[in-house]
Amino acid sequence: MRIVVFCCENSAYQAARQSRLPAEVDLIRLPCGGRVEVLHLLRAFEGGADGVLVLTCQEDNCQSLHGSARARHRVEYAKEILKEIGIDPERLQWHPVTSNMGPRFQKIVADMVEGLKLASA
Amino acid sequence: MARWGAFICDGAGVDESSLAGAEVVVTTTLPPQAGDLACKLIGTWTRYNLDGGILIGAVPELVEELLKESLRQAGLDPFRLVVVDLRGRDKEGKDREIKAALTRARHLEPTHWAKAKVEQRALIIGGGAAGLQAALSLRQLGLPVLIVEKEESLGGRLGKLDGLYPYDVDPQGWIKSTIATLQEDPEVEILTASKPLALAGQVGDFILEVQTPTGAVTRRGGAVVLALGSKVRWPQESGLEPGPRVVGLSRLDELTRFRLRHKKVAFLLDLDELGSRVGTLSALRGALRIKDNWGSEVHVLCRHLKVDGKPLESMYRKARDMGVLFFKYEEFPQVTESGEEVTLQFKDPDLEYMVVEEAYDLLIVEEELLPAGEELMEAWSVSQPANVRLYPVATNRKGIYMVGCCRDEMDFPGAIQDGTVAAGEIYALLGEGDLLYEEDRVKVRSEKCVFCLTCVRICPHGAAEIDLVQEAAFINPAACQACGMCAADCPAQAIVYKGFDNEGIMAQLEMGGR
Amino acid sequence: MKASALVIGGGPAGIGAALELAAAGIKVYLVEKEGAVGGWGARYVCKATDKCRQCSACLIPEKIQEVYQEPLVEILTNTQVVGFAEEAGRFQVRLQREQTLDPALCNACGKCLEACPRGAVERLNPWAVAYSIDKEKCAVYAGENCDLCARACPTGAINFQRPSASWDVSVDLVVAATGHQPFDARRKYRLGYGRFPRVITGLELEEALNRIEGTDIFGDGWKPMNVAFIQCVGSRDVQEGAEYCSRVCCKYALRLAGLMRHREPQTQVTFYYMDIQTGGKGFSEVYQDCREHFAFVRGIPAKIDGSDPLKLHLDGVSGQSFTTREHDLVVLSVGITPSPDNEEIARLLTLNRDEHGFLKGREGVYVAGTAGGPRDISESLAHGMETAAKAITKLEGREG
Repeated sequence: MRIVVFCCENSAYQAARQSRLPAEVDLIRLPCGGRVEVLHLLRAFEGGADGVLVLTCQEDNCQSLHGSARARHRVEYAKEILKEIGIDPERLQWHPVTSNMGPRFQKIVADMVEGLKLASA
Repeated sequence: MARWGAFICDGAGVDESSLAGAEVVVTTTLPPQAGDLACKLIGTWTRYNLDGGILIGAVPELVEELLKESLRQAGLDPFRLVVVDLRGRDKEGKDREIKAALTRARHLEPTHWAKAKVEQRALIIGGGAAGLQAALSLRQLGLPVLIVEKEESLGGRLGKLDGLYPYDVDPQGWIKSTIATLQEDPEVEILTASKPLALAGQVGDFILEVQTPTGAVTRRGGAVVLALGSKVRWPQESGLEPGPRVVGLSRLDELTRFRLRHKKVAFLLDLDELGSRVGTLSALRGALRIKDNWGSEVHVLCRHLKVDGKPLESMYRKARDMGVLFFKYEEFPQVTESGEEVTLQFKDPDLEYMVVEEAYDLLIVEEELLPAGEELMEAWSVSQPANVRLYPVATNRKGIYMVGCCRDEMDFPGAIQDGTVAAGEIYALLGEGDLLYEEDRVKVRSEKCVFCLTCVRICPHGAAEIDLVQEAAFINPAACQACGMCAADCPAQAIVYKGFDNEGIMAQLEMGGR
Repeated sequence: MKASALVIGGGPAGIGAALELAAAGIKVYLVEKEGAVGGWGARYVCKATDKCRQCSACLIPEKIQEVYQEPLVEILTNTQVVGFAEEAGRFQVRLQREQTLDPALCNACGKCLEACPRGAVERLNPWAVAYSIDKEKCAVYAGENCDLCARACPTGAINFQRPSASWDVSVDLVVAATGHQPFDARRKYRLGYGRFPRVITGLELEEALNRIEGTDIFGDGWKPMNVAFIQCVGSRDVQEGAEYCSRVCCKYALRLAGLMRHREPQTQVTFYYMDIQTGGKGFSEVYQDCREHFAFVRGIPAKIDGSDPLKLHLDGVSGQSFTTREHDLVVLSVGITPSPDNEEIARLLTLNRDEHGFLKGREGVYVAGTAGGPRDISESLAHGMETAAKAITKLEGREG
């Protein structure tokens, strides 16, 4: 199983560094959630990812003001595409994770792993 | 061919064969001591004339930052150190991690730094307490300032009030003496009865156009301080109408200057459920003044008594000792006006919801304080939403600061704090005389740009501009805060973000790793 | 500017001051008596629900990183000021550093942590570069013979024989950002803290919610469903000599309650309060949300019975003379009190204290953050910045 996590450097990436990550997790570090493109998300699935997470700041807490909101919108848009091409849209998720929330990061990843296991069973 | 060095932390348990990449010219094991890490890293980097380094091993989080800083100090490029954290990885994971790092390294390009001379002067819009404090501090720090004030004289709202504030410093006295100090200073230019028209340029070199009574003038400055103050709004929703018996809190000083014969006065606070700390402060100040000047009976009605600031609790106690009565209400009181009297009827939760009915000959109502200058901020694309990362005085735009009650409800010490902090930030920005920035982190490839201006619309930092000569967008490197939003949104993929370009991200996706 | 400064205390105010001073080109010694910088704020939880609640706890790791990246700031952990003298407008300060665990050698591998049977080795917060030893738990400090952690350490960072180091620094200004002490809820005997396990403080709730993801705060599977928050514990309290509002408790309590409900939507919450203090941009929204979902009772319970559920006795609340109410968890919103060290600090630095015991600054020796009075994280940061800016202004004035 492979999970790709796109992380905002200001928040989720800091949280990731406090967490013990399962071996199947790959991190992609971004300067801001706003940098993520639909193309990146789809390419991750194309490259064999079973789940993709986009973890950014809280929306009202983004250094670049709208970066997090844009990340969320792009995830929603990409989910539509996934639906159309027959991939379970739940395999792509956006969550806000602030820099001091290692436990939340860990839980989101664990939930994703759990969900994927259930779906494949 | 690029020359890379691999630095392996002692005990990382790395198979050196996984480093077999043509670019890696040297492989070194680093000592476990954090302090010695930097020496060896820099030494090897310089000796082998490396283009970059890959640091592999069990690195504590902050060591990465330390090493990057050491590189910067040694004149090497910190952006070209790729750090691989191998904790919790098995053999296979480690190999994959290292391969991914090599991929990442291949996509790193050198950083180009640029230096620009700055205009060592601050442009302050608004001459109230916060603006005056910013000016005063900046002058003490040796930077010239311009103050633009829309009124005929400086001082703002506080300047119009009569004394009595239980702070260490008397605000009115402070405002008078500060104005005098600034007026005598040849390095302070004061434009009163003037209106800012347009703002161009970026951090380090803003160009401000001001409409003065004698015509429009243009001034340059490296930073802008918006001290736009607040405006008062009558609480229409309450159903109350201003009149001879019902007045707004903002008119209090006007009233108490005269020896009127109001025997019984009520302050009605918290009309919008929450009310404000500043409203309570003004009411307490007013209650004490009225007691002093008129000897009237004074009642204060509120939902929540705000006491979360230094003088509030002591003022409250003083007022109570002087005989001011405090009532609480949860449902908005019934107000009836008849001839010479205003009657309030309400239930006080602290009196076991007993119905209280009192008639007053003057009712003073807390108005809503709203930030002023919204039009200006919109025109200049400046915003300061409730976002902790901007707290206290930063805005979305580099070099533009917001101070005083245009950013939040604020008392005198708050305004002073804002002004001082903004001055400190500006000194750090302009004090050296030049501004160092990354020249090409985010760049528009003008040949690909279709001039759709998406980036200009979405850039949250006001850094995307129009280059009419090239007929392309242009990312102002001094103003850019490197979020990459424009690169993600550009429909023509004309914007390249060094280190986070599509090729790099795709390569990472392919290789995996952290 | 070629000048130097001493900042005492590595919480948000100290870090804010250090960064601002360094930005003006001033060399800073940032002295922290604990093994890691960050202060109380580093233990707090992010209180975002589906929206950011502006508690600023997330700024702490960012500021720690920033201060570690700042070459002009020398961070000295496990260090205290032991001597202080003034000479021609400069300050000669004697620093003393406990060196049992040398942070320069520690690479936070965690072997000592595993080796210690008493759990005395800890990482104070996730951003600590080095571990620290809790003297209260450590066998060596209790007079016993033990060197398990020292033997486990591969880099020789731990050595109980290593003497503490002391040396002098000469600085142009001092910022005391020595912080505060949360009110000791044991002093309110009738509220049962320390006697009843399900009476906890707001600080303990913060830490518990920070460790875990749900609301299983005691780690035993039990989830509180009916929570009482009691406000003004140790604030606005004449008996305790704390006739001031602590300014932060309403906000943290409302935010924590919101977070508990966000994590466990069935959680019921009641606030017992005198007045809700809700100043500050963006906070009205938080309060409105709370008003919608939680009960608000005007009045502070006089006494709590340790029954299950806990029984709260109220006098003259909501139109009734005597009432009791039941809750399965009580959270005491403890206030900010002056640090017990303030007396010693004031003596050492010749500072005055205000009527409540908070420090007051003077020429050359400034006070920042909660050492000077109640403030929340972002206010402390801002106050640190303001203090630094003031100090720089004075310094520039002296030189120019």
